[in-house]
This record gives sequence, C-alpha cells and structure tokens, in this order.
Amino acid sequence: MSDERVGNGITRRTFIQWSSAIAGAAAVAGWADGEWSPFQAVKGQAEAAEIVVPSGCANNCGGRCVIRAHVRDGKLVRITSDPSPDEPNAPALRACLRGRSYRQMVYNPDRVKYPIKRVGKRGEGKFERISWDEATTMVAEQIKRISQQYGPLALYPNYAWGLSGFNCGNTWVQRLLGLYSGDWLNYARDYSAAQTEYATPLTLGTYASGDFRENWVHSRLIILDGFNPAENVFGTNTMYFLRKAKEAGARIVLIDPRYTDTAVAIADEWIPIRPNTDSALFVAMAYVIISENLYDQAFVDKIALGFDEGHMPPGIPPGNSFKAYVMGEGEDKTPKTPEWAEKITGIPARTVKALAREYATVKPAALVQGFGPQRHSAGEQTVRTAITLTAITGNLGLKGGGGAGLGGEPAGVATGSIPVKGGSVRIPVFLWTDAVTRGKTMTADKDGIEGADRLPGNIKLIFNMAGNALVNQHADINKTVKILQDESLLEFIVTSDIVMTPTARFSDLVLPAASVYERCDMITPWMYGEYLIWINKAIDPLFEARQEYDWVSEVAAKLGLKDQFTEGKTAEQWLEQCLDVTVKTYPEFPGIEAFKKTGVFKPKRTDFTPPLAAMVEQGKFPTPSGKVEIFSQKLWDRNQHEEVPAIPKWVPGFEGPTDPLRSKYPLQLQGWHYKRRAHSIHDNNPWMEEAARQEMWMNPGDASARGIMNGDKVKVFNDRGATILPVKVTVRIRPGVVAIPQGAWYTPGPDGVDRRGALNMLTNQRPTAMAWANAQHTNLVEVSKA
Amino acid sequence: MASAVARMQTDRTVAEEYARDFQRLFIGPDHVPAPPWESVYRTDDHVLCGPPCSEVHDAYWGAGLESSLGSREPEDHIWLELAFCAVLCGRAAESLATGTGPGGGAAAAPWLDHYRAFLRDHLLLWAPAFTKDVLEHAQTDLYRGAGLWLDTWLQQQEAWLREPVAGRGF
Repeated sequence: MSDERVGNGITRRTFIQWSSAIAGAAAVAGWADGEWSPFQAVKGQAEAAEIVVPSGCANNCGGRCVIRAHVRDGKLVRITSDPSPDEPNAPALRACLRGRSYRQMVYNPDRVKYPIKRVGKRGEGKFERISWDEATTMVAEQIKRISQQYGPLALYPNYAWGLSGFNCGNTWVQRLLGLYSGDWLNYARDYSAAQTEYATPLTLGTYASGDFRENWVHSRLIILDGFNPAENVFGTNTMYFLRKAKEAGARIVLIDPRYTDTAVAIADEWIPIRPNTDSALFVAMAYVIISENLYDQAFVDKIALGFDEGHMPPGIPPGNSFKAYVMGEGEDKTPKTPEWAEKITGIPARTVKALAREYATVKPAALVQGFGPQRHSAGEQTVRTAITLTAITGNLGLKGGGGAGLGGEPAGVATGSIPVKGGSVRIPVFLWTDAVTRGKTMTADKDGIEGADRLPGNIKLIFNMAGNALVNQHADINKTVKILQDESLLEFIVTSDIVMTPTARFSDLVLPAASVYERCDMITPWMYGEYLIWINKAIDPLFEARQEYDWVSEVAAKLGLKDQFTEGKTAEQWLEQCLDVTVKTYPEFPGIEAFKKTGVFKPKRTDFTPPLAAMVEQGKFPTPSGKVEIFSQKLWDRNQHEEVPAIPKWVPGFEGPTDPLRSKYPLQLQGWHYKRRAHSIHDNNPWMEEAARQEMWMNPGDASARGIMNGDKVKVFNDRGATILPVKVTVRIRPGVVAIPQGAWYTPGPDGVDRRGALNMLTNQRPTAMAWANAQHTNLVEVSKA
Repeated sequence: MASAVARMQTDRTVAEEYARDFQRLFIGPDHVPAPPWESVYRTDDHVLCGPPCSEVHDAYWGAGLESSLGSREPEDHIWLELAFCAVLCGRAAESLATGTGPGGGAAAAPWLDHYRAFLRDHLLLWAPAFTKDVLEHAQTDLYRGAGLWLDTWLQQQEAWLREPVAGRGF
C-alpha cells in the first residue's frame, strides 16, 4: 500500500491501521450501520430549547410543594419551584432543599434499573436480573398460591409513602387484591402520629383539633411542644405563618430537648425538657392553674367530662376525676406540684409556674404539638394532658388558640379516590412484625386488631411499594432482620422502588419504579392548606422502570382480571376520574386540561372559623358522651388503669428518665426528622450530605465525661444493637439526652454494628400501652468513643 | 479474552459467572463500581443524563443518527459511544474503499473530522477513568480482558490524535 495522503492529511496506511482496529471493534461488525445498529436515522425535528413542566414534590416530608421541571431533549436539566408571588394568606408553595435536589435521586447511577429476583439467602444481597414478564408471573403466582393456602388476610401491603400521591403503588396493589379475593390485611394509623391519631379523636371526637395557621396572627402566646416545622415542614409554609404571628406580636415558647432550627428562627424562650416527660409538665401546669383558680369553671362544665368529681359518668368510684388526680386527692395522694414535675422533667419549678400562669392568663394562646412528643412510650398522655389544658383555659376552639393534640384543620381540596374493595381488617401499623410471627394469636382486646375479633393467621406475603419501613424505619432492626431472614415466616416480599434501600435488600423481588418525574400524579396538602397539585410526567422512565399501575395491570391480566382492574383506563385517566368530584365542588375549578397546565388549584378560603368553634359553642362534641372526654369510659373499660388510665396522667412508660435501666444505660436517646431527608429518602443524596451530614447531638458535659470531642466517631449502644457515627458536641441539647436524626440507611459492618447512624438499631419493638404505637423516641443508651 | 469467550460457549457456569460480573460492574443493584455512562464521570455530582449526555446526543445528530433505544438507555453509554466510533470509521473506510463521488477518498474527511472531535470531546475524557474502574473491579477474565482491550485501544486512538494533521492540528 502506498503512503498516499488521504482525506484530511493522514496517510492511508495509518488510517487503515486504526480504522481496522475500530472495525475490529465493530467486527462483531457490519452492524454498526446495519441491522444490529443501536442507531437509526434521525426522525424528528431538533427539539426546541428547554421546556418547563409543572410538577410537584410527592414525598411524606411534611410538605407538598410545587415543582417546575426544566426538560431539554427529554432530560431533566434543572428543578425550580413555585414562581407565583406570595399573597397574604396564600404564599407560594415553594419547595425546600429536598425537592430541589431531586434530580440527584432520579439520575443516580445506582438506581434500580431492571427487575431482579433474589438468588441467595434473604437479605444476603444476591440478585439476578429477570424480565418483566417473569417478574409479573412470579407476583401473580404468589398471590394465587398464598391466598389459596393461607387466605386473603395473609397478604399485606405494608406502610409505604415514598411516593405520596394518588398514583401510588399501594393503592393499585390494594385494588388488585380486593378484586382478586375481596380482601387483604390493612393497617390502622401510621408511624408518624399513631398515638395522637388514637388519643386526639378519643378525647375530642375529631382529628382537626387545632386552628388554621392563618389565625396564629391572633395568638398572643404560642407554645410549641416539640413542634419543628423549620426542619420537618409540617405543612408547606407553616414557618411562614409562624413568622407572621411573631411579627404580629406573639411570644413564642419552645418545649423541646433540643434547641431546634425552629427555635433558632423564632423562639423567645426555650424550655429544654427531658424526653417522654411532657405530660408531667402539663399536669403540673394544670396544678398551678387549678390551685390559683386561673381556669374557667363554667366553660369546663359546659364542654368537658371528667374534669372534676361533679362531672363524672355514673358508676365511677370517687377520686377518679382529673382534678382529684392533679390535686393529690386520688389514689396516689400526690399533688402534682411544679416541684413534683421538676424532678421528672428537669424543668425548674419556677419555670413551670410561670408558663402555667402565662398560658392561663394571656389569651388567645395556642399550644401546638408536633408529633415527636407523642412518639414516646406513653405519648398518648402527652396528647391528652395538653388537650385538657386547652379545655380548662378556654383556648379550645378560640381563634388564635386551639386544641393541641393532632392539630390541623380540615385540609385539602375535595377529590374522588381510586375505588378499592376490602381492607376492613386492620392491625396497628407498628405491629406488622407481630402479625408475621404470631398473627393468629392477635386479638382486638389485646392487640388492637380492628374490624375483627382476631386475626385468622400470620402475614405471609408483603407488598412494599416505595417504602423503607420493612427494615430501616421499623424499630429494632436486628430483631426485624431475624424475622425477615426466617424464610418460613414471610414467604414472599416484593418491593417497587427507585433505589436499593436496606428494605429492598430483604425482598425476594425488586422492581424498578418510575420516579415522580417519570409518571403523572396528583397531590394534596400534607396537613395544612387548601390546594391540589397536578404532576405532569416530565421525562420518560429510565432503563426498565415502570409506574406500578402498569405492571400491576399485567399481574391482573395473569390473574384473569385485566378488564376489571383497569376498566380500560390508563393511570392518568384514573386520576382524571378522581377530579370529577373537584369539578362539581368548585365552580372556580378551571377544568382538567387547564389545571394540568397550571399544575396548581388553590380555592380562595375566606372562612377561617376554627374547626372546633361550633362544637365549643354548642357544648357538643362527636364523642360517645358528646363532651370533651377528659375521662374516657372506653379507656376505663379496658381495665388497665395503671398503664391506660381513663383520665390524662403522667405515665412513666418504659425506658423513660425514671426507668431503673438508666443505671446501665444512662442517656436518653431520641430521633428527629432531619431537614436533609424525608424519613429515609435522600440519605444517599450527595447534595444533602453536604448540606447536613448524619451526626449525633450530645451535650458538652456528657461528652467530656466520656472523653469525647466534637467530631469524634462514637459508638451508641444498648441491649438491642449499636451504631457508629460522628458526634456534634453542642449546648443545643440538654444534658442527659442524645439525639440521632432518624432515617439513615442501615449499613451493618461484619460485626453487625451499623456504620451510618441508623437510629432503629437502638429502638424498641415494644408497642405503647394505649394505642399499640411506636415509641421510637424513647430509648436508653450508652455512648463511647468508637 | 478470546479464551474467555471460548470457555463461556462451552461452560454454562462460566457464562453465569460472567453474567454476574457484568451485573455487578455495570447494573447493580448495589453501588455500581464502573458506571458505564460518560455523564457520571464528567459531572461534579456524578449523575446520569447531565450535560455531557446531551452533547453526545448532539454529536449523534450531527451524523444524522439518534439512538434507537429511546429513553431506556442514556445516550452516553460506553456501548453507544463505541458503536458510534465504529459507524464513523466504517463510513470513512467505505468512502476510502469505494473512492466514489467527486474527490474520491476525500469524502472520508468529514467522517474523520467528526470522529476526531468525538474522541477529543467525549470518549477520551472519561473512558480511560472508566476503564481503570473496570480493571480494578472486574472479577472475571472476560471483563478484565475487555478492560485491557479498551485500554489499549484508547491509547492507540490518543496516539493517532496526536499525529500531525496538515493544517488542522489540535
């Protein structure tokens, strides 16, 4: 071959030399431009520049916010939030750092990409890629086999809110199971607020015990009991309304073991309380209020049952009223003085007195509770004692006051829902591990089973649709792992998710889910506010990811139920059907297509009458007695008067500050909802680790007693397990208490010790006495340098 | 690598071992040690579908091509990028071989320009680091072999790029 120059100046020989190497690459060849080519001639037009797609943030973080997805060439290039201006009482629905960093989740190279099935032992982490057809056949066969062998109540869609919209995996699974066998096992309440969800309606007959946030500008005093919206949002824009209240002159007091970000932003006073003792503080405040006659007797007489001996149901022996208990005229003969409370709560008696006097005399005063104070081993008492305080001070139902407890308002916009049959038998959500190991022994009386006297058998199949509660978010990871590893107990676990969570690792089948940007959906407010957000599909799903509706439809087809399941509709058409109610309810609703274009529907609310005002005025509540049930006959009849008293009391619970176990494990450990995560979501997001790393808070006194310096790695342990993480030594937490932000992903080392600061290595599966609820903030531990 | 392929054809357990290695290296479900996408190596956040991926898309368009895999596979997957190299070289080689049209072999020039630019602006900016990850984490001869092959080939392309080109050096 000659050395002739070809083309743009290289020699023919050189070119042939290199190109043959390539052609060698393609010599597997011929296909490069041919039949097997992964390319095709350009078909369409070049896409225009960036388009902006109205979307939303559908996580269970406490907010539900507007997102604008910026898309170019089918790729999500940028995320922004609500561009609309703030208007009085209608601020823009802006997303926080969680929503704005979602691109890092969607485009994580570690995403679950294809269906995979377990090939090793459960939890060992060995998986093999399979086709979608194999995957849906497997699910259909397991539904069939397990339903036939154990009955429909052996099938359990577990608590999971990784995607909290209408187009939600659990809803579709529940719909399919309802069509297939008519029933499935459901759960009652949730991990966030199970105790107040039990205790608030028990006391008031309604969940909506609070006030509109818009009314906080009328409050002259706002007491925040473990209420931390600066981090956990608690309704999009809750901080905005608190700031408005502060600007309007409200004094803001925070009761919390930590000096939280909310306190930094707005509190005038911080009362650092020992965890799990809020009810002792409230009972002692009642003592001051009663003994100094600062309460409204006529008001209490009108609305409440069980406050004093003159207002008790018939047949209850004397000495069982709330007043008798508080004043030491009950069985324990102990007046619940501020000095009594100081020993329990660690709050000086003079502070208790001052707070009680202020709360009883400055009106209106709002006592607003977060969910943290109730996530303790007797958290129901925290709820019921606080509601009682609002009732005796006359703040209940008052504009700018409110009823403590669950709080909130009748939020949201009226919509229809996806029709689902069955699910009337419910276990307390926290008891699913019990239902796996001893379901057939569980009864309504002993275990809080609802809808049946007892469970017919154990859970055998779990659907885990975008959830991490199977391992990571459930208490006592080591105990849970043992239960899951026993393959004779749970026979099949199927997970759908976008990332390989610690829970997904314990599944038998893991399916790649379409992220919120790869599907359409619709979301309502998390708790406060009146709006509806439409989520348009912004990009096509990556790899083989699918929205659950599509593969559940395939499973339905394999069970002979395709037409019944889909009714010929796409997921989007089901959502549109849910909007029929909205169209009928709101004359100002712009129509479905227009709504999809703007992405937000905000009806204008003009009536901010507190939800409880009418009940207070008429003295009639939707409880069995028609009154605010300070005394509950239902609780009295449970006949566990020590642990489940019929009136609100200070109940020590287990592993609180008075537990003798403190001699071995002297520190109280609690969790908190970290601003960088929505529960366990975003733990693997590098932007978030940069913004707020996983670390434990510890008081300098406790640290120096253990030779621990700020930034050290520490080992936190008790009899249930251990975790290692960095420590932040700070006076922002009271002595004797340590706090680990919840939601870090369980990452065990070879010794079984977690390396990521997963709180649930240390938490307890023992349920609370009243609501059979999770007490994941009540733990005793010791800490040493790692 | 050739022997690895031969073994795979005769021994099923070997084939399964290769499949496992492939899944572990490039798919997951655990942390993927050698993510085969340019964007992961060339963005600060190590994400899929970042700006380099869009640039690769544009490069394919420049050759009148688009990926036939749609959104299912980001366009900057190593396989697509190598296949694109093969397309460009194949077209250049064809022009040279047939010598058809005005200018004969000179018709190869635009394809070679395109190829050079693609190597310079994309493949050589990340594939060496990717190859290093493959070599470090592969547990079978097949993927160690593939890593070595890719490594050698990339070095050859780099050398070729360094050759002076009259009036066009870079």
